[in-house]
Amino acid sequence: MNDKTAIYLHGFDARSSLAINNYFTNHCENQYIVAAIEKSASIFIVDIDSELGELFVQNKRTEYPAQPIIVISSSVFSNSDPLLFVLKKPLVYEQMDSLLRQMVLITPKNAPKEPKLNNVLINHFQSRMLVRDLTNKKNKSTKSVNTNQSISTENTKIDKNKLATFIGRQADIDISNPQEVMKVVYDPSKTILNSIKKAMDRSLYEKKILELSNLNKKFIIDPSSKTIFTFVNESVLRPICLLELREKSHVKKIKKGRNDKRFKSLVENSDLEVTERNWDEFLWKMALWTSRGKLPRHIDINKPVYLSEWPNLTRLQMFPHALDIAAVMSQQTMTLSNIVAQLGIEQRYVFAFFSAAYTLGIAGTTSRQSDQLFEKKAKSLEVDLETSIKKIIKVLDQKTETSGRVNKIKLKGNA
Amino acid sequence: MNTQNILLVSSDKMNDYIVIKTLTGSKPKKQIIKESLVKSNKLSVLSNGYMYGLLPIEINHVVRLISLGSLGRLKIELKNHLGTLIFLNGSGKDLSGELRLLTKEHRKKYFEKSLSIAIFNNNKNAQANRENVNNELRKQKLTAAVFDIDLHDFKDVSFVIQSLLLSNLYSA
Repeated sequence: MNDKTAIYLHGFDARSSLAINNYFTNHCENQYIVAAIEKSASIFIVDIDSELGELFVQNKRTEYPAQPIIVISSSVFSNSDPLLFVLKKPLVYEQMDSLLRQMVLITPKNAPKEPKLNNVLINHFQSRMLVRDLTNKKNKSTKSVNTNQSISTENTKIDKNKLATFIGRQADIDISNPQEVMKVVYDPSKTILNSIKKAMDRSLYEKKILELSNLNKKFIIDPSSKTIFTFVNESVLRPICLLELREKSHVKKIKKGRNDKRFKSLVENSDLEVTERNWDEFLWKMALWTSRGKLPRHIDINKPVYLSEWPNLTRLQMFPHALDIAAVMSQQTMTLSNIVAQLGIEQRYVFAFFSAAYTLGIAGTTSRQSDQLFEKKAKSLEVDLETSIKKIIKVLDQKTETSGRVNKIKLKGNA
Repeated sequence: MNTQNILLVSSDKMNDYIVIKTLTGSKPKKQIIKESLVKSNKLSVLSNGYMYGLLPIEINHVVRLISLGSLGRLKIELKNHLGTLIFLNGSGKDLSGELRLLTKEHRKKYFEKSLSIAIFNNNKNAQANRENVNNELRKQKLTAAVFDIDLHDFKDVSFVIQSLLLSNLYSA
């Protein structure tokens, strides 16, 4: 017990403290324990994004001038304190582990009683370089996977132009660069999709069939059957998804429902091409056409995302990697960039999936502190099992001629 | 021979029969299990059995699709179990109740691996049916893909199985 290094946590809620404690137990061979009081701690870990986080760091530095402090931040946090180390959220196990190991060496308990500032500085810069190296290695490995699995060279099942209408053509961006992020976001507020979605919510609340008009197009929304009637074909619907609405949609109640004269004249006696579509199928497709591989503007790209349930993919517009993305997202909360890295695919596929699932109301960002603390990793299966699962998927996928799913799974070990 | 198993669970074995045929292209086979039973000093032999189909993956590698039936009287010790597929009839009155019954029966033994749910005949109230099933899964703290399928459609059945395998692959 005495050999363990006590670490005091500040700015973490109970769930996050438990997550860190579990990390110490499961990943650090029990070398560290969470200290109940500051005085017994050798190291501080502070969530700088928490309320008064910065003030706490300043106070503790005055109180404990030789104590290493690890600051966890969601943004860039610069400082000149040689004993203050910054880790960016979400935390990567390996980075945290290597930093803690070095911290232990320079804590007052283990270090010479009067640590020379030079030694401290060397340790500090060494640990920073290590962190940078680890980050670079990770980025490099992600890039190489992307190259290996690029859709542009291997997609034979879906016509590239058709695919581009769903997932766009946007190249990958540097997610840490806010200016680049602007290239992969869109404003959903002035789209026909947003207008229809609001009308659907209203029709559910009022339990009334609604008639929505905008851009010279009509839609009849029936909440009881959760279907929508459209009067134009998809070649017309697709481009209007990209138009910015200049005026509000006109929404009228059809009071007597399907027995109403208005409903009958519009739907049953219409000369136009009337199609009754399932809400989810309609919203999913419209969301893909609207987003084209981009994210709604108000989504924080750095926050972990969740999928509360699988979309009904056998009845929705499929595109490459949709099953894989659903499988990853349904297992755990993860940032979008981590999903991209885990699957080794282009960002636009993940963004398109998220935008469509978000429109259906089954995906979103999570604001729980514990969900954002550590970078999530999938359980590693035995190589044999992983290889054979991938082979089975490949066989099933090859037989599915019309699936539109492109399977380019890289076999680990014996590719 | 590397044999991996996927369990099919349904309230009607006919559904499993169709799925096996859709996936493998041939009629299911039968495996008879004989059990010896001594009762009142008399030895009797009980015959039981299950239906299965084989999906060849490559030389020396097959996936065996085993129809477990609804009530789980069979006690199969499964090795190389990849996951379980539940089939629910969308025209049934109480889908969440049916799911509750099936999960109660098999959960400990067969649902520890990944799980997927296929709703067939889901024409009327399809969305409400899926919502009920997803809510029931949440109540039971189970994670599973829930898809509408046509039992005769290879693509549909293939997607459900792929969801099962991918969940296994990316499990946390």
